[in-house]
This record gives sequence, structure tokens and C-alpha cells, in this order.
Amino acid sequence: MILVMGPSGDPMVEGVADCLEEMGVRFGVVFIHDIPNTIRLRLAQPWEEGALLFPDGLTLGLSDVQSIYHRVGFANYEVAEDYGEDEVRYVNQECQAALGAWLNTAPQLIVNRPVASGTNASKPYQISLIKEYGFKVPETLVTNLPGSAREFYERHQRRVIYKSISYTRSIVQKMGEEDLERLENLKNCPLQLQSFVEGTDVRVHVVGDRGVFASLINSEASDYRYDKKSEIVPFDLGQELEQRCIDLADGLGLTLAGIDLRITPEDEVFCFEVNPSPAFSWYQDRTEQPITETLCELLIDADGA
Amino acid sequence: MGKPTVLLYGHPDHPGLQILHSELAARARQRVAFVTHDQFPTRAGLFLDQDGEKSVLIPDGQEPIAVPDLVSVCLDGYYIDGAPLSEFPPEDVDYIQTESWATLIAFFHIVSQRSLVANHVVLRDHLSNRWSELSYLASFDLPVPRVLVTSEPDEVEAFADEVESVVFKPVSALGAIYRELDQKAFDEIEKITTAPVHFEEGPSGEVVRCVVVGPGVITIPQDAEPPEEILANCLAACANLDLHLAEVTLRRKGDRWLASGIQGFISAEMLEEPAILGPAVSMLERGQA
Repeated sequence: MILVMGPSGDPMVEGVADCLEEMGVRFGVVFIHDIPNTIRLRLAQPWEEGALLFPDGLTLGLSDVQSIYHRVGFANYEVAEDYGEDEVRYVNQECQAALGAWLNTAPQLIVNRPVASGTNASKPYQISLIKEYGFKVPETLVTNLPGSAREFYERHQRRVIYKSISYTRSIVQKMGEEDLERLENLKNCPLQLQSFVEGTDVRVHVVGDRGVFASLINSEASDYRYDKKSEIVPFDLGQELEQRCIDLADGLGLTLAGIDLRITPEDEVFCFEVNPSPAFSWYQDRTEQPITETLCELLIDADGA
Repeated sequence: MGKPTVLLYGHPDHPGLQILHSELAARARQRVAFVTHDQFPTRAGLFLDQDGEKSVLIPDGQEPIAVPDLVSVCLDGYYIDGAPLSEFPPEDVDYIQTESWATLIAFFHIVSQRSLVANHVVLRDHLSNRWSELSYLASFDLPVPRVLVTSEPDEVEAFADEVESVVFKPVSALGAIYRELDQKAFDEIEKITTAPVHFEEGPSGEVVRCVVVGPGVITIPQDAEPPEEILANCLAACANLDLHLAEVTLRRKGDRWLASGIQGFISAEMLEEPAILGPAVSMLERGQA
């Protein structure tokens, strides 16, 4: 059986479930808000004794799971109405730990293992890995020294952006003169600065070795994700660049990846980030690329435990 | 080029780091800098470029440490201390800690491309909780204690019937102390329906430690003689995560051997053994595993 796990209402979870249903394969959906009481998880050593326990006494042995696509970590778990703040935090923490432990160690195909998402927890760490796959990366400085940040800004002719260092979502901002007045704040918290790269954004979704789907984004904003007027169309990367994207995703331990590229007017290819849990439906809806279908084929063809 | 430096990074009261610091300082073959975890980001400055060539760590009250001067780094017991951030509201503290932690991950990775780092934090993500730790050891064909993670009281009762004794703790807490599943705990077993709990076969038998320093392994007691295959698998498990300093705990009961834990550092108790301290310090001074 294939499992699809995540928050209810998540477009990727719903899309994959709908696609598997159309394909007529055996699958189940586990919503995060049903764990740990409505649906209970049992992990055991030896592994074969682990199971998911559903209402009405149904039991699914973890060894009977062929493959899993999940979007765990984007929603809260099942809590009672009278739980206080500390109890809610405890339940979420323990359920996330248990689910994460299972998904990291299960022998089946897991899209994606939480531990592989770890590179995204530090963007400068991730880009140092990205470089190894032949991609250019923007010149980057991470610092809590105001003078160093100012010098970097001047050295790059005041064409610098700043963004978060961790997975904390931030809107990429162009640094301006008004930001120089705030640099003293860096003494309390480091910042990531990057030289601005002129070019066109291309988002690439890699699905194992089954498919590479690139979308070109036309946008005026520094961060197209927040530009409602952005236009997205399919884009041909060419075989060599497609293979590099496949190798990059594979090298980071990701079966499904969303890779952010920017291609300069001189055809240099910069890579900014690899997203381990991409919201691919947003791009699929606009380009009609068969990302969901390709992912489902991968899940169906997996060997299981 | 400045002074070749061995950097120790972690909690100021970390007994293992203190032992290493004392020995390295006494031998005085390299500059030794102990930078405590509470300094970054409010009291230690950091300039981190993407290949480390110009990167510098400026500790409070010490000479700056240029990354190209680092011979080796030894780190453990660190986190982003919230105490220096007490003037900020909770959401800002959370943000600062998250951003600073991400910075340290990048810093130690960049350093590890140039110098020996024992042991880089990212690699230990694989050992982030007890279940993951034991599953990791089992993946190297090491026998491990029986484990049950559940929120079902009936399952706990059945498990307790199958093993001699049971201990338990939260799933998320790697370092938390186990509680024994005694009658008092059993009487409150219904509480586990709130969230899954980690239950484990209670420890028994003689403790044997496999201490890994670089490519070598030393067993304590030295006459313990675990089977060759178990020793080799312990070493492989550590090497797979680039753990230059590590400890695998074995338990022996008669002919039965179990691997009951792997730590990404060496305990103070083991570092007090000359057969371990010497090689560990030499490795850090040479900057080679």
C-alpha cells in the first residue's frame, strides 16, 4: 500500500491522493490532525512489529507499506480541546519526533526523509553543497559584524540582497541606504547577505530520475513568490542542466526537490536553494506539467520494505 | 598566516572539553582556544564567507581566530543560549536562536572542508532521538535492545510481559534520563495516550565501551574482547557519520552482546583514560584522523 501523509487541505497531499485514485492503486491517506489518538503509530524493534492502528480495529503493518509521500511538519497534531499551551507543545513535539523517527529509518521509499531536509535548515550550508554540483552561487556573507556588512554592500556596488539564514521563511529584500542605519542590530543576530544576481528565475522540480520539470518565471519582484502578477511558463533546461539538477537532488538525498535557479543574460546558471518539500502544485496548475503523475508513478514502482 | 589553532567549542562546564583543553594547553603544541557557546551571537563576532578563506571568529576576550589557521575543531554540548537574549521578546529569541544555529551549521561545515572537525553537528542529525540512534546501530547489524514507541497502554503491558524490565522516556529527548516502568508508573499508564512514548528493554549486563578516536577503536575494559564483527560494525557506524571522536556502548550478558548507544563525543570518564586521551589530543594537534 502507498501512504500519503500530511495536513488535510494541503494541495500536494490532495493532488497525489486524487491521482493515485485515478490510477486505481491501493493507497491510504493519513492526516496529521488524526495522530496520535484517532490513528496511532507503533514503532518497534524488531521493525516488523511496527504498525499504524486505525479506528474500527484496522491495523496496517509498517512492513506492508510500499512507499510514502508526506508533507509532515506543516500542521499540528491531534490535541484535546482542554489542553493547555504546554500540553499542546508536548504533543506536537513528541508526535513530530515519533513520525520523524519512523520516516527517517523506514526501509521503504520515503519522499522525502526528514533528515535529508536538514540541509535546508542552513542556507549557507546548503549552497556550499550546491557548488559541488557545478552550479554557480551568489557571493555570500553571513555575519553579525555591522562593519563587515557595510563593506560587503559597498564592495558589490550596493547591489546586495538579504534573507534568512535558516528555514524561517523570509521575503528576499534588496538592501538599501536606509538599511545601513539598522546594521548595529546585527550584533544581536547574524544576517545573510548575497550579491544581487541579474537574470531570470527558473524553478525546477526533480522527481527521482523520472522527470525534470522546469518553469520560467517572469516577475519584477525580488522574490517572485510574493508577486501575484508573476507569469510562469514551461522551460527547456537542456539535457546537461537537467542531469545536473538530478545529480544535485540525488546528492542531497532528495527524491523530490524544488530547485531555484537564476539564469543570467550571459547564460550563467546560479542556484539559490533546494527545497526539500516543494509546493509543486502551484507551478503545475500554471504550466500543466505532469509533476503529480510522475511522482505517483515513482511511488507505485517502489519496491517496498 | 596566524598561529595554528585548535578550537574547542561548547559549554564552559563540559567535563570532556575541559579535560581536552587542559591537556592541549599543557602540551602547548598549538594555540588552544576554548570558545564557550554562550558567546555567539551577542559577544562573539563572526565573518563567514563561502569558502572560509577570509572567515574569522572573534571570541570575547580572545584573539580572533582565522579559519585558515584552524588545525582542528572539537565541539560538543553547545546550543544557542537564550540567557544573553533575555531582553528580547520570545518570538525574537526564537528567531535569533534559529538564525544563529543555522549560522553555526554553516560555519562548522565550511571549517570541516579545510580542517578536522570532531564532530560536525549536521552528521549527528541521524542520531537526534533514541529510536533513530538504535535504528542506526541496527542498520550496521548491531544487535540492539527491544524497543516500543506507542501511545497504547495495552501494548506497553504486552511488551512488559516479554522482557525482564522496561524503562521509558519521551521520544524526542535523546539525553533525558530513563524512568523505570515500576508499579507506580504502571498505575499511571493511561497518561501515555496523550502522545507516543519510548519504551525500551531495561539495561542489564556488563558495560563495555568501544571508544573511537579517528580510525582506531579502544575497548574499556581493555580485556573485554567483544567479537571482531561487533567491533568492526561499531567502527563502521562511526565512520559513516565522520565521527572522529565517538563512543559506542555495548552490554554483555553471558554470550549475548547488545549495542545500547552511540555518542558523537567521548565521555569525560573515558577521556580520563590515558590510552584514550593521548590519541585524542594527538589527533587534534595534528589535525588528522
